[in-house]
Amino acid sequence: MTVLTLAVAESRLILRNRTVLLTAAVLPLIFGLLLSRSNLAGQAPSAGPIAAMQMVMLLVFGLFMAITMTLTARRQQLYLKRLRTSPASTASIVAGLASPLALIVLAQTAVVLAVTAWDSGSAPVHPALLVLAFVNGAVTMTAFGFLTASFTKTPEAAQITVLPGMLVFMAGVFLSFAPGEGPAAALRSAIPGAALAELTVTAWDGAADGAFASIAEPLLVSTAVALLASVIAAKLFRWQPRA
Amino acid sequence: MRFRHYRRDLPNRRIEGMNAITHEPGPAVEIRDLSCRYGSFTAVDRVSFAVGPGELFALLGTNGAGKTTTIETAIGMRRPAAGSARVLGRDPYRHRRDLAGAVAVIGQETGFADDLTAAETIKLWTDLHRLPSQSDALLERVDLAHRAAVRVGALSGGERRRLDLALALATSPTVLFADEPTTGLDPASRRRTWGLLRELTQRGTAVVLTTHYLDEAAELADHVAIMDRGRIARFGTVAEITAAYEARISMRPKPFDPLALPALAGRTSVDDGLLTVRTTELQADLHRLLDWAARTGVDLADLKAGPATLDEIFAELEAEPTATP
Repeated sequence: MTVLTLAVAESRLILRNRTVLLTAAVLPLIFGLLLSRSNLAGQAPSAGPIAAMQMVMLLVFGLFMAITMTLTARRQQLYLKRLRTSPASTASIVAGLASPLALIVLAQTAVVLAVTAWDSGSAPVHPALLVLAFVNGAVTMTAFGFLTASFTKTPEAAQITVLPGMLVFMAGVFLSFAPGEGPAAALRSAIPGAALAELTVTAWDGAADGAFASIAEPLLVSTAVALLASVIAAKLFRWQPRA
Repeated sequence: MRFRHYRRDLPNRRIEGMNAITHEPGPAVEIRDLSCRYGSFTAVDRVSFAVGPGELFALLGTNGAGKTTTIETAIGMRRPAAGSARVLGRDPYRHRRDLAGAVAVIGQETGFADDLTAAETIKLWTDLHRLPSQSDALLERVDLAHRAAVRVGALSGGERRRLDLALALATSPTVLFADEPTTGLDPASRRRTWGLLRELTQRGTAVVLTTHYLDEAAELADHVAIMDRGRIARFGTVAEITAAYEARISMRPKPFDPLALPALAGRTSVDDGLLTVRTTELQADLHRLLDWAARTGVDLADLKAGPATLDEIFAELEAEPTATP
């Protein structure tokens, strides 16, 4: 209920600010579609890795960067301080602000992946797993956006502080394509973005040992990493600008 | 030093709602030896006070005196460096969510989202508190009904303050922290705000008010604490505080010969033709001056006599090299 209340208010704020609307809704979509038309798409052995890169890119731009900037801007406006004097919990405030952004990214992902499916002539083998991958990615991006906002003073500074996170997510995607098993694979899944990519590739291309057996480890490891990021962020986060 | 001045005659209240809490007997707000620091700077230094149900307690002080930091600690926005804050018997930092239904805050900055309308802002607030929607009635109460559909960013500073007050009223709080609630308001709106604050205290709400306006404190407060450089420099009722200072008589005698003044109990000073007498014997010295003026035919222009005003006490405290705890 609290999350819905905050999400409705945040949706209004996004819809009423054209700059934010353009940045959140149009730009990630363009980047995602450009990737479908890039040389990378032609060189990929299957559509799975391309879909993974697209989903990570959309989530990084549309959710990780956007929630970092939103939290920083709302703190600057003292809106977070105001919400902090209400009964809303930390989790519901962050979720309330992130959910409209996540819905926008969900719509963008649907469009971009539909284009990828059309171009490649292949559909995801496990569509439900694709949804799970998206949810896992959304939670991870929100957690790391929350963490990044905890050491970001202003919305302007957020343009710089998100860069390490973006690089880590991109590195996670590319490392997920590398072969590996056992502890190395578990360690790789701990890198933000890797599990999301693994899940998406499995969802699209299928897995030799059965999809659900192969997803358990990356799913658990990435969820634990997202939880850890959230706990650290909740400890570090300031709800009002520094004096 | 610990202050315990609060009304004990009002019944303890049970706050109904999502976060129902019972207020045990005792002060609604209790600040004990509170210290707050920003790095090596001590913003609040061993401050203590208690506010009971139905009491309006005013914290006065210049910018940087530590009023807002004290309030922020009391609403759970920051942890004390030392000492404690208790609101309705609970630690506001640890029990922020439990207290949110019973405690309202009016901040110096309103913290509204500029792109929501006034009505949407109230709806957001009442929904967060799981209260029935009452935007129209609340906006009516603060005279903003005609601005319901206007975005907050387009409201004037005074209108935003009134909207802030509407949010505070929405939850029928047991405790209200009001950090300079009338700053930027026109005289009529200030009076209206005073009326609403009185209404709340009459219903048993404990109000902690910070203000720069000394007349506001004198008008509303049961007890006043004057903060200076992080410490409470003076505490009491306005009458008690002013009684501890010399009374003032001021005038512009015409014609004026300082040597011709009668013998007075108080000290005299002259600044730009304004004669000021600081005295502990207000009535006797005033009588002597009036008698002297009548005998010598001196006109006492701009004659004023009375106890020291809070403005004057403020100025004296500021001039002191170190605060007196």
